[in-house]
Amino acid sequence: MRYWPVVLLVALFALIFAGCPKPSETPTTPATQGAAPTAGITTLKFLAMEYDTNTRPFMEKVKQQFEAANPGIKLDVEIVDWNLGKDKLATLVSANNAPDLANIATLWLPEYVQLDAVEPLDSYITKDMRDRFLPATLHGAEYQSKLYGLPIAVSARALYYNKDLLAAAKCQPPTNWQELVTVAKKCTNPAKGVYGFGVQGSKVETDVYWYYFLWANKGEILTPDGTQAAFNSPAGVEALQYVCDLIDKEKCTEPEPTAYDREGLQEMFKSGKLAMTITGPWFWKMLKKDVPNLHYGVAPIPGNKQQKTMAVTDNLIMFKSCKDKQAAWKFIEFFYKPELRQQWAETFGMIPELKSVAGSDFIKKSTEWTTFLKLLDSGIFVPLHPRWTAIAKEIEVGVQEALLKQKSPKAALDAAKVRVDALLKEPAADKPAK
Amino acid sequence: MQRGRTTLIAYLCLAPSAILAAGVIFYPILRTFYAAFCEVDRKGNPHAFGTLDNFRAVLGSEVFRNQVVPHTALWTVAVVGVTITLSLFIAVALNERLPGRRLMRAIVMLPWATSLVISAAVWKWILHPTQGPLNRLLEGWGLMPYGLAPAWLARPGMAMAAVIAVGIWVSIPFTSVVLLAGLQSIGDDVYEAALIDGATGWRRFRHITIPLLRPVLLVAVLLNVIYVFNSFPIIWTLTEGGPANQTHIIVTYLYQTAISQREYGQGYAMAVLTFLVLLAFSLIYTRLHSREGLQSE
Repeated sequence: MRYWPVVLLVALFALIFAGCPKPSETPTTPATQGAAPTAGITTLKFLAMEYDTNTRPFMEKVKQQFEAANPGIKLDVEIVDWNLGKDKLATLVSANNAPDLANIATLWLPEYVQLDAVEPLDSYITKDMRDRFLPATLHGAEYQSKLYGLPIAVSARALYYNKDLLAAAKCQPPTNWQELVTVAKKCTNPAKGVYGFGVQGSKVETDVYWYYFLWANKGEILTPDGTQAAFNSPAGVEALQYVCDLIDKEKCTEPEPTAYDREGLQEMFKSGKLAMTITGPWFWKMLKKDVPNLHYGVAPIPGNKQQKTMAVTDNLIMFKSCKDKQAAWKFIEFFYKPELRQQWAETFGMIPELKSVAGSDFIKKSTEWTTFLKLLDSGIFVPLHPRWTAIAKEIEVGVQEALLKQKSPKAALDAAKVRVDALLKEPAADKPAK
Repeated sequence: MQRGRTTLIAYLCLAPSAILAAGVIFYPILRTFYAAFCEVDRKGNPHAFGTLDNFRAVLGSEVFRNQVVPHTALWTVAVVGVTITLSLFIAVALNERLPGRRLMRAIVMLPWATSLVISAAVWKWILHPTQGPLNRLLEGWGLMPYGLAPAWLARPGMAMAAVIAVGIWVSIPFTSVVLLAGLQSIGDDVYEAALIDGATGWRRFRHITIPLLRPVLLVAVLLNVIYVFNSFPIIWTLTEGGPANQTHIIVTYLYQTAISQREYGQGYAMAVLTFLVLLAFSLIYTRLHSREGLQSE
């Protein structure tokens, strides 16, 4: 009788401990966690990065259709926001608990290939299926001569402009740098809180915003062999100086660009306070849904020595740790049925990656889609490198230092070059992951 | 025999917590120390033991030496210093028999009741340059020209000041409560004696309150330094260490380096350095003050 509190305590703790998985235990298929496994049912875990609020209902629909067509397979979709998703995926892969499928930014692909985490799809995909894709869209998925994924979201960037604001200032959308300055200045009215051109200075893709100008000026991020940084060339310094001048000298941008990330600029554009900003194809869908009364136009990014844009893909990849790769491939085949890809393009506004979808009437009739498809041809892809996350961060710091006037554009880019060169050398010294 | 059985029961009761603590606290610390001296791969797994490369990489980084470390020092000193000072006065005020005292105590506790991430997210919105209430208020009161109110989190010096301010705001509840508890343990008779001797308010405060509060102050400062030094959510939510590394402290820089950029080796090294710094501080600080305390008794 004296011992019963002890027994109770110990029993309680024993129960708690029994529930915790020990760190050394590698989890078996996801089916064993949670629901009781039924013989013969495979569960696929899909970590889906969220594009917008349509992602969840769309994936729900896909899940229902896929499970109905494939009774032996269950699809478990987890939706995360992009910023959180990147770190979450990194942690899951490090913990040997990777999902079976995920959509990732192409920029992350080299990193995961280096970790030997991605399953090449060459042995699964037929030549017919491969031919269904627009060649440009496969660019990011092919790395080190293997096909590591399939494009799921293709975008090229363009200049969005507020038709009403430009008309009020009696301007046409700018086609080069001089026109951009003139139009932006005419549209800027600080008293009303309206600004001509949005410059991004914060968070993801701050470096990309500068690449639009770097490439317009015929600058390059890296040397052709990809071993050294080339962005501090005179063309690059001039491009960065141009952006800084837009802010300080011409005063035709929103004040304090380092306070604005891409979403911030998009929100500003939606509220009619920004006449022009550069972003991707998803935005016109957002505009149609959230602010249907805003008259927007889409134009190519103003060039200087050449007119270029950035092409970007996200890829659907299969992880090597997937227990049932045949089931995962069945899902990929299902996902790339033209009808589904057509619905995807229509819902999210992304550029279609299948030739058949791109040639469909629906796409051809839309000015936005035709513009973006055409822009894809002049699109430059950001270089693929396993350390790209760190490299992009160093370039971002350099751009921010110039925007904040802490360093001159030349000094900021030279300093960034030193750091980036050091990172580019790294793969040789890398230890292979176990 | 009775004694032996009681001891046995005591150990049995302690065992589950001890095992849990060992597994969740000590094992990771030991593993971190081990891994910091290893070559670590891109997944975070340590391999060959016996290298100082991680420490060399960390201490050799210009950003770490010239920005992260000074920022950490500034952040800790500023937040803890101002928090202790303000909390002391708040605690003294809350100790007085004023009407509405219970309500005031509850309000002071509120920031502590919300998670740090949520508090920081709300402050991020408040500090927004065009849509945040703070700038709207300042413009409305005529303190800022319209349209020129600063972006608090986007300018180098101002961003640091803003995160420090939020850090102070979230630290005040805990510190006030601790100091209030300490104040309430000081008996009224000491103050009465001082009054009879003719001591004014300020002298009472300086010569009675502070010395008698010393042990509580010691604990408050020590805990605050440790919490604040390692405080990740506030800075990460507000600025992610930016702009241009201007608000990075060791723990946020560690997260960016180790998790985002997969430099786990450097992350382990930074964790070890942080541990050693805080351990040294705790030992020196407690030694200093307990000796003082004994002398003044």
